[in-house]
Amino acid sequence: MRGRAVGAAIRRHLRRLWWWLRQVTGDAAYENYLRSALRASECTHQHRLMTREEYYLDHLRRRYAGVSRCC
Amino acid sequence: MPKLLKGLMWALVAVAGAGALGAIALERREPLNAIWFIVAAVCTYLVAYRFYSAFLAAKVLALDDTRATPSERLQDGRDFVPTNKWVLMGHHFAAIAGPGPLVGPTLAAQFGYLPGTLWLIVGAALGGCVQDFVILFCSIRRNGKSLGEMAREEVSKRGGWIALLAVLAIMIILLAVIALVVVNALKSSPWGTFTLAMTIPIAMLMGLYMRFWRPGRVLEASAIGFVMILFAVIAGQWVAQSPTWAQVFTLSAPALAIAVILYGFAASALPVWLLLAPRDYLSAFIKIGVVWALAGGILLVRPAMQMPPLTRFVDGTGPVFAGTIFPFCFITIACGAVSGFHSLISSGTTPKMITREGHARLVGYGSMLMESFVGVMAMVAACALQPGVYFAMNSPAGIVGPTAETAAATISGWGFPLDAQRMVSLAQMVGEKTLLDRAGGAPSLAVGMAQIFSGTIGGERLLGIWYHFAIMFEALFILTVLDAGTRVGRFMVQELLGHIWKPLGRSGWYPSILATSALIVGAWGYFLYQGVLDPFGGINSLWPLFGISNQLLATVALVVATTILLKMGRLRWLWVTLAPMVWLVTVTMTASYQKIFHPSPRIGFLAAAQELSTQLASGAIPPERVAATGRLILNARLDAAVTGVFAVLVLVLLVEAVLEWYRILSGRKEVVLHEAPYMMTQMAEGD
Repeated sequence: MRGRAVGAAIRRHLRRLWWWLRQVTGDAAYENYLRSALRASECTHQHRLMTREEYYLDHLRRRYAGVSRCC
Repeated sequence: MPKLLKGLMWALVAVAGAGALGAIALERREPLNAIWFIVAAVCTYLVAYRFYSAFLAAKVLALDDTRATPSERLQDGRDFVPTNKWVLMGHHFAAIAGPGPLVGPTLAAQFGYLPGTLWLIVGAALGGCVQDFVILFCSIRRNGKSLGEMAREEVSKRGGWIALLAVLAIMIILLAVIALVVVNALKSSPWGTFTLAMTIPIAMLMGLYMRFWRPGRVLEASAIGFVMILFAVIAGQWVAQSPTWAQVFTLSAPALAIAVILYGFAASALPVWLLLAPRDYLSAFIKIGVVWALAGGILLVRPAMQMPPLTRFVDGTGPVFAGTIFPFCFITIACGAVSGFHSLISSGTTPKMITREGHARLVGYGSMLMESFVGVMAMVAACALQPGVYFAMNSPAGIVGPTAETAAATISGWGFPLDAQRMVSLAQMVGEKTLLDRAGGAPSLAVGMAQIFSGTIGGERLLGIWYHFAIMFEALFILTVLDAGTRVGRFMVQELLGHIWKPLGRSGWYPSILATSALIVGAWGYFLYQGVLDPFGGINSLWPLFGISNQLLATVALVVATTILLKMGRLRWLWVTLAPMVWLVTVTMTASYQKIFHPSPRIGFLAAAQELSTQLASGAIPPERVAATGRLILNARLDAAVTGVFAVLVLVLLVEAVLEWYRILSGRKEVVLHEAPYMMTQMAEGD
């Protein structure tokens, strides 16, 4: 019983770590964009959603237009 | 937890931190263990975060979690995105942590471990973290405006221009000096050069993968890239052992400098998805992994400090760079304690992603504490080396001579015993022909890291692999900064030139891209090349120049922060930004003055130019070196002029700010705070 609880806690923490890693590295950026854009389009009834490839290029263009890395 | 128990626990943390700091400062009988450094740093950070940052958040800034942040008010799913605070902290830390906190402390180790360690810990808690936190807060309250925009609005129009010029100038010097660190690490090293060269096709392959095959799959591409990089590190050994291939990848310092300049131009002009972005992803991935691995390695191996707490070079005669402990220790360690460059990140993407004002404490103050810890680990890795080895690697041939024998004799004469054979065998163990004359800090840090890693996994058998892994790690993210910095510099030049002729300002117009890329690469390439030709290794002149420019940018940030606090009516708490600002002005102005006017040719640029001119006039310079000496004289005068321009720019801003403060305090001017109006958050409590 206790072993199962420990296993579940470990799985929960690993899932959380995986989620954090995907967010920090930008791997989940497109899913975040979709969620946010869908929420916005529900309110305004507009927006053509970008494809994953379009979003990726747009994301890079904006990211490297300013100081993104320090010394 | 009961209040009494909590209080007792914090008292224990404070006592442990103070005890460890005391041991670092006072223990002289036997070599100190690295654990003391970890305890001193971690306990001080915990106390500083728990109490000082809480005080800043509550009393000075009065953070308001009911106030909607730009990420909520202007949410567009692209730039303005409410982000989990731990994720944003990861983003912010990855953005601020570059090669600076690794290289600076390694160079400052020539003074001994004590001054650098104290400055890293205290400087970060009272200066660097405060700057990052306050600027982040100011930018959040202004819809994510940049430092330059805030300087223009809150101080004066001229202040905005000064900030822009300071950023461009620091960028050029920064790129030159970090490129020099790479050149000094890789010269005559076929293993290292091959590994780093392989990162270019690997990054391009990753770029193609994320662009065409699996768009935006960063983790997959980074994992593939990481495996390929590991293979390249191992394959580098085979290349170094092959007589034919070793020759191909053995490059002199000038040849490497030209290769880096060409690479910088290509990286700036190529599409961002092909080279810059994949390299950046890979480097962030490896950076976070190595920082954790280094912390784990230090805890497991617990190396003893071989370097004394203070060396004889506090008097300014150091071989790595010249100058007394004040002000040069505080100029050399910039990024691990106070870094002006961070204010650009704190007023860049981070304020646009923060969900609540209260998160600024963790993201702004907390991330900088982590960066400081990276600096402490670099200091530990450098000081765990035998001092003789450290000085042999970081001293230019112009001071210790070109061979292991001359270096051993000179360094032993300084009181740091060194056996010439030890340097030869160490070079063999790490797979290099020589480890001498590698000024710049990267190779000595790599040896220190390799000793810690091999103490955990593989022993001496894997020392070469670990050394080249560490070199690859440092060079990889130095080149990432080089790519990203050149591109940003290009955008700035395009923006400036756009005022003269509109098409030049169009960021997508190829002739403009090529012309402005050439301009910015030419600027840092010039300083890089002069550093390579410098008989004292270049680091002696360029690193202080970088440190001065970085600390002057921090001064600009703290001037802006102080002005805003004053306008907010926080006169009582003004010292939180004013005290570090006064300290930085004192340090940077002293350093600038000494770098220009000091009578010693190793410190003062004008004295160096004068000495060379005298030698030239008296015919003491052989005919074949006359032209090169002429260039050295010109470079020394140029360095003096650049230092002078930095100092004058900041003095002008300072005078403008003081006049503004006087007008506000005397009631001659109405206080106008350019904050976005208050809007209540609509987000739920747990968001």
